[in-house]
Amino acid sequence: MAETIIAQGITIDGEISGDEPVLIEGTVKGKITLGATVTVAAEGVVEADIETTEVQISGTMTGNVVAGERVEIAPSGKVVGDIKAPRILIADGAGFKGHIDMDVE
Amino acid sequence: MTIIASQTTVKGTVEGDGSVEVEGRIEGTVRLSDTLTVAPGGYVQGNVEVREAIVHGEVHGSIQATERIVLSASARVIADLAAPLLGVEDGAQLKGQVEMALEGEIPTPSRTTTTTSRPSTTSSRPSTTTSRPATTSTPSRPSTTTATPTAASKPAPTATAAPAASTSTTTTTTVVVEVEEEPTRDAEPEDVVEQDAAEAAPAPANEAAPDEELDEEVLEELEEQTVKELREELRRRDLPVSGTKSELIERLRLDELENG
Repeated sequence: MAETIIAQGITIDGEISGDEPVLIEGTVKGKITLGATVTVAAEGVVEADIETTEVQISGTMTGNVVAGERVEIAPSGKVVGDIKAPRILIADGAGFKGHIDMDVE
Repeated sequence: MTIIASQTTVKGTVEGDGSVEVEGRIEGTVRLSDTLTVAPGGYVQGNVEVREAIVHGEVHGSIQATERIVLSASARVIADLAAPLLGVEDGAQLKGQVEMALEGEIPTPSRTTTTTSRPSTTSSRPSTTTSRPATTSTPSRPSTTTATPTAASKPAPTATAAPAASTSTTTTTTVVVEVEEEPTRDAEPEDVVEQDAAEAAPAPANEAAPDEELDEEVLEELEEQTVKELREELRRRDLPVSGTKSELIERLRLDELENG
């Protein structure tokens, strides 16, 4: 399956939706709704709400994340926002501020 | 390079430095310093402002490129296009207005002419408005004042008038050149005639001929006389007697024409 790449220097202000993985090296503002993995690269900046299956954050992220499977914040990742996912991984060195909801009953 | 994959839709603005390839969909504005490539199956709806646009897929809206727009054989475009260069391949489908004029080149002369022509139209119109109040028809006055901006806001007629004016000036300059050439052409034959008259001078009848028939007769008479007879005749008329026979004849002939 092909992958969507938002390269460095590109800004998307709006909504991204689809069923393919998205790699963000640039800037995305707005909303991301996907049925696949969203990867925010080290240089990537996201100011958006993400609703997807899996999120990997190595860059800077501001917004709420709702993931169907997993959210991973890498050591270089910085996240400000609420995360809701069954599995959440926050690496040593990562920055995070917000709520975490792992749907524990 | 940014790639919007085939199953991905972007709604909103895509902008920045770099190239974007659209295999999926973009609904909104695309503003790039480089190339937008709409791949086969790709779809863009909205306004596109890029350096270069290469379309294999579908575009609805408008494309404005600073360098060029290329529509390949598989392209389907319903959009207004503006670019210095446009390539449309055989098989491409296009509906929309195409503007290929260079942004910087044409407006500069038309702008100067519109500014110069505008005062003339505005100055001529107040005279009609000042004449109309005499009838005191108040509804006519707004109509004329609204007519003035429409006439001023029409750049197309003034723009067409501008090249016409420039061509007329070029034609006048060529006329001037022709005028300058004509006297030189006339001067040359005159010199030749004068030289002929000085050397041979047998029949410069066309030089000054108020009575051509009379002149012809006089010339024949003089031609028959000898040099001695001609000199005697000249002496009688208090004219110089030196020179060749042809010169004497000429002198007598001119005297004949002047005094009869």
